[in-house]
Amino acid sequence: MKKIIRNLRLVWLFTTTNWQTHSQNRIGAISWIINGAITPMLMMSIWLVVGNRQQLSMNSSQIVTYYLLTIIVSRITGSWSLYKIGGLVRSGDFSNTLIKPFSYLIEILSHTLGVKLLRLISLAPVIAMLAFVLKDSLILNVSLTTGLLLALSLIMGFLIKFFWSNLLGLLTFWLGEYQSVDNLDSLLGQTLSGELIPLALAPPLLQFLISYTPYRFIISFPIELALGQTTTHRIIEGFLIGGLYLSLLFLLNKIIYRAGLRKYGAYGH
Amino acid sequence: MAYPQDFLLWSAVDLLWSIINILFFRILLLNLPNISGWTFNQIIIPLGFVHLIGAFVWGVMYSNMKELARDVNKGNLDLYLSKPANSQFLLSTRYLDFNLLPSVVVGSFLLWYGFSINNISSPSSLLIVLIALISGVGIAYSLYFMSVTTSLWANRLQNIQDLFPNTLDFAKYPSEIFPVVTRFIFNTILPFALIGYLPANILLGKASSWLLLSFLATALIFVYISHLFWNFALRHYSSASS
Repeated sequence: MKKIIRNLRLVWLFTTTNWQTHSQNRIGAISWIINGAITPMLMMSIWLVVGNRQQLSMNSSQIVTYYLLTIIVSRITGSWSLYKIGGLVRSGDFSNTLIKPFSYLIEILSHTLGVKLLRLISLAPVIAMLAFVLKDSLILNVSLTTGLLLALSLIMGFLIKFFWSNLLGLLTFWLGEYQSVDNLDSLLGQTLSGELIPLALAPPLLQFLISYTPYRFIISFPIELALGQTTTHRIIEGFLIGGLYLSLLFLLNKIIYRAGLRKYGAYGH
Repeated sequence: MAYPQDFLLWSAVDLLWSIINILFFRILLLNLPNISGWTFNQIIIPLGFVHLIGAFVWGVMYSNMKELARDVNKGNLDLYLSKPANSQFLLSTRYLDFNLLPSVVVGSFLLWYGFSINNISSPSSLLIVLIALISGVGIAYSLYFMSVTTSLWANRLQNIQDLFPNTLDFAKYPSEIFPVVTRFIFNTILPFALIGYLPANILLGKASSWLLLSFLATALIFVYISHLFWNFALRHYSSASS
């Protein structure tokens, strides 16, 4: 218990430090916001065109709301720990984390949280503007219970993405590089998280894949909750599967980290 | 190529991206004869063009632009500015990534396949492909370089080097699917619509071959604008790092 409290204090300390450091450069968030909005806006345009010409299981309001939420949810749950860890291993600077009296995860998590909170504040006016422009097409009716479940799903989604991203970053111990793994992660993420094709519009095989891979919890699951597109049974099932993935990823992180350290040459390039 | 596993994984992922792109259009067109007048078979041709331009963007440009943004952030740009050569050229040609090879193979295959299913066999089509690729590369280079050049004002823009490769996705879709204003932008200010769909229109006989010359002229103008923009931006470069 003492260790957990100490770690939480460290996370808080580093998060606030990162917040202060990065708040000097708030304009840096612009490209982060645009990057995250490109695919959802593009997909929204495409599905609206398709929806105008054939009957889909989502109407145009649901499509617009879905992709606006995609921009928000993907930014909340996103994590760049793959880059962070991959970069440290590649350059040999990972050695610095090994001599510190706390886990490297605390540093990575704090950096992610500090920068993310700052960026989310920058994202807020953009979302408000988009919501105002698209207000006639938006449908969102979130009750208190749904709101709480949504918040829980977002925290779960972030942690799944964080540990998944960490795990992929740790592969740099073996591969020496991380760009290809990042590319693979983007590919799977876009396809299986519901960013390209919402679960409701996906063909059966893709629906099955989206439903049972960890990527669903990064985008699709929270939006399904927000849009009320799911049943109580599916919500319970979703939280159970998500929790299982989270435990599994946490365990795998520990195993792969130990194995990776044995492989680590610390020479950098 | 120093990391063979990474290269092999990159190749596999690149192939998977292509398959996903094609499958995505297949899903979109499951119950529709066409999307904005483009059938599934016809869409393979612009996809081939965009893939080849993407190979240039990722293989030739990406590492250079990433390094440029980093140099601006660290204040290391001065070294290149003091050399007796064109700084824009130097900064654009420092690295060449062999990760582009799988994309070139896949893009070429898509073009070949698109040609064969659309019965395009005239010898002049090869010339059209060549001019279209040169023009597409010119436009992609200029837009990408100008987007990263903005970091000279802001000093530190998070992942600015990822912005253009992401927006290149717009080139995969016919501009007719977008609202009028967006369509206008993609045909003029950010001419993504020209990269894949204009040459495909010409090859399929939907547009006059003369438009290819305007495409080439547009590319030249954009390269020149990127040069002017670079020189203008340099006046705002402070050499300060962060």
